[in-house]
Amino acid sequence: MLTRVKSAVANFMGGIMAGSSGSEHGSGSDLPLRFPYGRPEFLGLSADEVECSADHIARPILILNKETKRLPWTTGYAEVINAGKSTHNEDQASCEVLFVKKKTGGTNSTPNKNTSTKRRSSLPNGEGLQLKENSENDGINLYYWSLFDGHAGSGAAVVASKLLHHHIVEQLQEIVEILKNSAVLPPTCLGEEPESMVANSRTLTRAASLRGGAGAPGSPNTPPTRFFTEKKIQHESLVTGAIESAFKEMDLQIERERTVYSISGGCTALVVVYMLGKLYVANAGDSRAIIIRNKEVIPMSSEFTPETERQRLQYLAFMQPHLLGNEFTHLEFPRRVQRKEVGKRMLYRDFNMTGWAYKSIEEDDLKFPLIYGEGKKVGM
Amino acid sequence: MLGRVRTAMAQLVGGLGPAPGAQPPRDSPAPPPVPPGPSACRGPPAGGGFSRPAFLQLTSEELQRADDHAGRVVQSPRESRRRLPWSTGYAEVINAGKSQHNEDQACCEVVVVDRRCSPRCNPVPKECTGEAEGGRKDLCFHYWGLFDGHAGSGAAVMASKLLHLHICDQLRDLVDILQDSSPPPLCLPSDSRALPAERNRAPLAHADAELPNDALPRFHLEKAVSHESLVIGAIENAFKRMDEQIERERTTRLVAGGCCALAVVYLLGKVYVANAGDSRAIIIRNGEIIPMSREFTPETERQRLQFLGVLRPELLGNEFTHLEFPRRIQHKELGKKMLYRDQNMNGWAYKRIEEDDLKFPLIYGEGKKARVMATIGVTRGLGDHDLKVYNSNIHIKPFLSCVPEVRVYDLTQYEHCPDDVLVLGTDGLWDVTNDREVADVVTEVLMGYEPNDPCRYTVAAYELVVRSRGVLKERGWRLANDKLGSGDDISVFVIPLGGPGNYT
Repeated sequence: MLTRVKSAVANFMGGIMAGSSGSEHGSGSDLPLRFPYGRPEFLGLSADEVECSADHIARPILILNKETKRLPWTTGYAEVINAGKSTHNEDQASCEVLFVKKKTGGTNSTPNKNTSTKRRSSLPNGEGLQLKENSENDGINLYYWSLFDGHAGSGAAVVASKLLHHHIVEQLQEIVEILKNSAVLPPTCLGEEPESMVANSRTLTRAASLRGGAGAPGSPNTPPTRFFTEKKIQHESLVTGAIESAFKEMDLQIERERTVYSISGGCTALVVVYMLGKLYVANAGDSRAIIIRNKEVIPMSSEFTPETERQRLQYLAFMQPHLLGNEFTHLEFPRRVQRKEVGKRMLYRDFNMTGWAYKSIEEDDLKFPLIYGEGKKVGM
Repeated sequence: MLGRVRTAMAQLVGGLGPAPGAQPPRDSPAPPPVPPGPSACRGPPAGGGFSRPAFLQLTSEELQRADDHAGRVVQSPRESRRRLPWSTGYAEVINAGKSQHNEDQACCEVVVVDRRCSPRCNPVPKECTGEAEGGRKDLCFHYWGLFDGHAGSGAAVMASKLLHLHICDQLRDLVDILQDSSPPPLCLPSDSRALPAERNRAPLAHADAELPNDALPRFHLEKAVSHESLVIGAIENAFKRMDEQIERERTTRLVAGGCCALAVVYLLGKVYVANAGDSRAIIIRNGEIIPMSREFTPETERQRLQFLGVLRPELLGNEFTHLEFPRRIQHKELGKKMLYRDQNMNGWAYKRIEEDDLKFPLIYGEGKKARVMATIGVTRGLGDHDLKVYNSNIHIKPFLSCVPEVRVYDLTQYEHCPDDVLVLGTDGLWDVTNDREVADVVTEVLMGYEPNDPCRYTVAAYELVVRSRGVLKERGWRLANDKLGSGDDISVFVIPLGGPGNYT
């Protein structure tokens, strides 16, 4: 991950990334760390062992201690440090068994406390589906795995590995009662009867709008008017929404706490939640998840890079040009444009294009392209 | 709000189309091609009466029949008249009453692209012989277009006559580049329009390159751009130019309404399918279905539309909210928690309702009933520059996009047989017939005709249209299974992908 961030810019702009080598103190800040640096908790390493594992030459592979440590579902895990691109291993991971309790009389768990979660690092038979410790009546059990790939410092990845699952639990707490009631669809309005149709909700007649109507009123082919009243939302959508909100809340918390703590860099996040018979794979970054089933490969994520997100990024830059700070152009060119090419026609690609075309080069096109790189090195 | 929309619909169906009572053209030959671009446009105003695709060559009697909602006679090119390129099959039928005229349009041409002055549209030759001028071959492409008009047929008529000329215009720079196997030059010489006899083959990027920083090693990053992506870029830009021309000329030409556009270009061994709207294209190959387009509706484009509402809240005119709700919210629900979905969400969550949330949702409805700003159910196409939300000054065009999605199919990678086809249809077809049913009808029809019988594809198109229209019974037009047939305009192309001599 760091390679992508560093080399695309450093080679051409003289190393713009300050503190990019795993420094824990950001740009000379003396704020305390939010959490001390370490390896994933479930590995159970001592401070000495952590230090020994940071060997960029030998690069020992760390795995679970077979005798004493087991992960839920007999999950396997392995990691190894980089070959020298940063002092610390900037990846982080966590694996939890969580319990989302129904809200009782207004008590809420906060992300900093463990009141609504119970952590187990091993199970008698390794299969977690028959948990009896928490009565199923009080809430829902869920399993959680996560990987975080840090860059420009390990702070964000460490924080996320410790706190993101709390945000997920908090978001799910709001809807746990609805989720447990599998027979009934979520109510549009919390607190109302799920199936009630509000008598005077405004509707749209089928014929009364452009396109899609099968016939104007009066023609032989007008179907009996069917009113669109309400969209039915599935339970799965609520869980998706909760995970999406949890990511947003985690990011906001990091933003807030950066004024008080030193939280260096950023990180990708790949999270898996198992709940009520379904696996939810949530990816923000360039980590990857696949299912291997009966020798078949089922991709469970897609990568988010400047290439895959090109059009979204260009569009945002086009709509909000002030974000480019007069330094960048939102257009994509196959290579840097040179001053003497002003007035000539060169290949370019705009936000709403997937193909390329020629345009006459103007002054503005000399700026650094918002999206650049991944081309072949061409010799002189 | 409901009252507004109903009235809007009544207005649109009745009044905004071409002047009623105008004389339909009699036996008119193909109108002269109009060169696109800033020069003054020639050609008949789009608003004068109604017209059917020129290649149908309908007599005035047939034209009247084509305009008749009660009979809904399916029209196809007559065998006795000039055959379409590649023996393309075509059929169309008018709607059951939802608009005065058939608002679909179609186009089928072979276009020669030359480098110099205006592009030529050759009505006669079926093959591109690529006559050389000074040793260099002209470029030539085959073209099919379907245009599904709404709120008047002006945009659809104009696009059916001009879009291929815009594509031609965009390809003019590329005539030599596309026929040269080396990668396209990143930089063209300033006077590229008047090419000397010997074309400089050395890519200029290498010859002139200077590096921004002299201290760097002597190489630079350079992205390879394929020939295919140049053609895609040309088609994307042609759609934009067409939309700009409609915008410029809509008052002089009385161009009413808007249209979806589905265009297919065959060029140098590849088939490019460009779709902006809710028409659809599929390839049927050896019984297998290969979708060649996706539909653009408020549902499939939800996040793009919501994102625009976030970045430019003024476009919502204080009437709409960019948030999506499962239903309209009532005043008494202020302060309660309700399900919502924002632009960066795929799932749903609860939020506390505020005053702003009471506004009409930008996207509302489900499936075929999904609408943007309670007005339009398709989010891509040409025209609609004046479309406003009823009784307000809010323009809908900013939320629409004229840029197509282009999919490429390489004809040379597979040996096609005469039963392998590309089927294009406006939504009138796909509303009542799914991909599998379309494939089955095509297979069934083609089985009954010799592989080299040139009318087999027209019969296939005819059957697709007839079986989607259904038969007029007491309770309306009904399909074989008694389900409701399509009351919309239906237009279908069936384009063969294989067989000897169909393409060079």
